[in-house]
Amino acid sequence: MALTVILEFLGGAEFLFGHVKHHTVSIEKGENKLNISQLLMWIKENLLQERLELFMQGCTVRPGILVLVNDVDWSLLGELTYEIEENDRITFISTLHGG
Amino acid sequence: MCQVHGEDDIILDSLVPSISSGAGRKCVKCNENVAIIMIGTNGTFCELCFEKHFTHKFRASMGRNPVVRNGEKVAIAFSGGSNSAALINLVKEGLSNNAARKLKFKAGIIFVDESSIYPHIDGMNNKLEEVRDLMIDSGFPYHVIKLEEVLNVDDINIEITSGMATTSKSMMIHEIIHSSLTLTAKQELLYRLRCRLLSYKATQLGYNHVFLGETSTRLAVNILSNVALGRGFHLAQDTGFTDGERHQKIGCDLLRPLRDVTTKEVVMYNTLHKVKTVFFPNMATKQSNMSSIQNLTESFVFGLVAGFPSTETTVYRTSNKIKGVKFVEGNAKTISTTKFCSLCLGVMDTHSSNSKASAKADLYYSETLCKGLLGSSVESSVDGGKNSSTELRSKTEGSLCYSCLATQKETQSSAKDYLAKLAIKSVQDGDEKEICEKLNDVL
Ligand SMILES: [Zn+2]
Ligand SMILES: [Zn+2]
Repeated sequence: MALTVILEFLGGAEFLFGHVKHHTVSIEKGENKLNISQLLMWIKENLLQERLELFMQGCTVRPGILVLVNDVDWSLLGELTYEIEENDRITFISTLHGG
Repeated sequence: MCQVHGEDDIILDSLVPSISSGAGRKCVKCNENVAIIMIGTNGTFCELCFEKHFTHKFRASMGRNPVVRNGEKVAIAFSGGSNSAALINLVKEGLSNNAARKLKFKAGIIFVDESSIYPHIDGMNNKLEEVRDLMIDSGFPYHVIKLEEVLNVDDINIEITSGMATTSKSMMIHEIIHSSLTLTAKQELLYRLRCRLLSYKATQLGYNHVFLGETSTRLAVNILSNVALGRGFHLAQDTGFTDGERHQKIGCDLLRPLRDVTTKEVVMYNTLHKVKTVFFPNMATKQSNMSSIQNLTESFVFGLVAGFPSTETTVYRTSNKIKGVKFVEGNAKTISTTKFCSLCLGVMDTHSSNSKASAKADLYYSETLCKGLLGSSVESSVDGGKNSSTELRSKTEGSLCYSCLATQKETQSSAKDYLAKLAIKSVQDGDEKEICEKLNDVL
C-alpha cells in the first residue's frame, strides 16, 4: 500500500532539495503505519540531494528546522512518533540564518 | 546511525507519554479549542489565542518602549526572511482601522539589495522581483537600496586592482567583504555595514526610526556570539529594544519590536496569515556550523532550544538587565583616538585608566609576539612596499573598539583600506578637536 504525502521545504530548506519547495510523494509502506521518524529516513534516501548534516541531526531534524503537520506544531502531535495519514501536509521550515 | 524499523518503534512510542497522535491537546488559554502550537514547555495555544498572544507581545514591547511618537515615520528593514515579513504584516494590521488600538505612525519598507557581494548566485534577479512584488502587495511605500550605497554614507572610495578602467561601487563593496580572511569577520563586517546603511538611508528618505526584525531567538544568538566576539561592552545597544544614540551621527535609531517573540512563533504567525517570504542565500548558507563564531553559536542556541524551550527568554532577558554604557572620559594617555568606534559606532570600550592592562593592549602585545616570531617581514610583504598605506592602516586602530579591532585584524587589502578611511573620516568628524589636531600633525 502506498501513502500520498505532501512535503514542503521552506525558509531555505528547499536549497537541500533541488530548490523545489513543494513535493507530492507516494511512499510504499506495506501494511504498516508510517511515522515521521520513518518519513525522515525515506526523505534521506529518496529526496535529500546534499549535505545530510544540514537537514538532520541523529534520527531527527536539525534543531532550528521547525516541523508542522497540516499547519500544526509537531510538538503537539508526538513529533517523530506521529503516524502520517493519507494526504497529510508536512512542512519543514528552516529558521537558521533567517532575519 | 539509528534504526527506525522493527522494535525501535516500540521504544520510541514508550518515550512519548500522554500524547496520542492526531487526538490534539486543548488550548491552555480558552480550554476549549484544539491547540496548534506549543510555546515553552507547556503553553499549548489554539489559533485564536495564539494570534492574540503574538500581537499582544509585539504591541506590549512597543508600549514599554515608547520611542516612536505619534505621526512619526518608521522604515521596516525587510530582508525577505520570515521575521521581517511578519513584522510588516503586524504593522499593517496595527495600522488598519480594524485594529483594537490603532498604531499611530506611518510606515514604509526598506530592502537592502546585497546582490553585488553574491555575483555567482543564480536567480538573484527573480528573487529581487519576488521581493518587489511582496512589498507592492503590502501597500506601503518601499525603497530598494544597494548595499554599496554604504560607501556614500562616508563618501569613501577604495582602490582595487580590477583590471578594468573604472571601478564601480558594487565591485568595491564586493572586494571589501571578500577581502576579509574569515567568515566570522565577513559576517560581522556585513552586519555593521547593513546597520550603518539602514540608519543613514532611512533618515535620508525622511524616516525617524528603523524597525529590525530580530526576534528573541535571533537576539539570543547575537548576545552569545557578541560576547564571544568581545563585544560585551555594547550588548545593550546591540540587542536592546533601541540602539539609543549609537547611529546619531549618520542617521536615526534602530528598533527591535519583535524582541519578545520567538522565531517559532513568527513562523506560526506567518503560516496562519499566509505571509510570503523570499529566501536569499547568504554567506552562511550551506556552511558547516564550525565555519564561523556566529554559525557555531546559532547551532548551540538552537540545540539548546530543542531540549529546553525557554532558552531564548533566559538568554535575552539577561541582556535586558544590562544597561548601556555612557562614554567615560578616560585618561588622556589612552590608546583610543575617538569617543566612538568608527566601524560599529559603539562607545569606545578601550578607555581605561591603565591602558596597559586593557584587552586592546593585550591584542597588540600578542600581535607583537607573533611578529617577533615570524620576523618583521609579515606586514611589509602584505603591503608590498606601500609605506604610506601601512602608516594609514596603523592609524585605524586607534578608532576601533576592541571587537572591531579584532575583526580588522582578520581583514586585508580592500577591507583594511575601507576601515582606515572610515577611521580618518570619523576622527575628522569627531568632536574632539584636540585629537583632530594631533592627527593632522601626523598626517
Ligand atoms: Zn484558545
Ligand atoms: Zn566597534
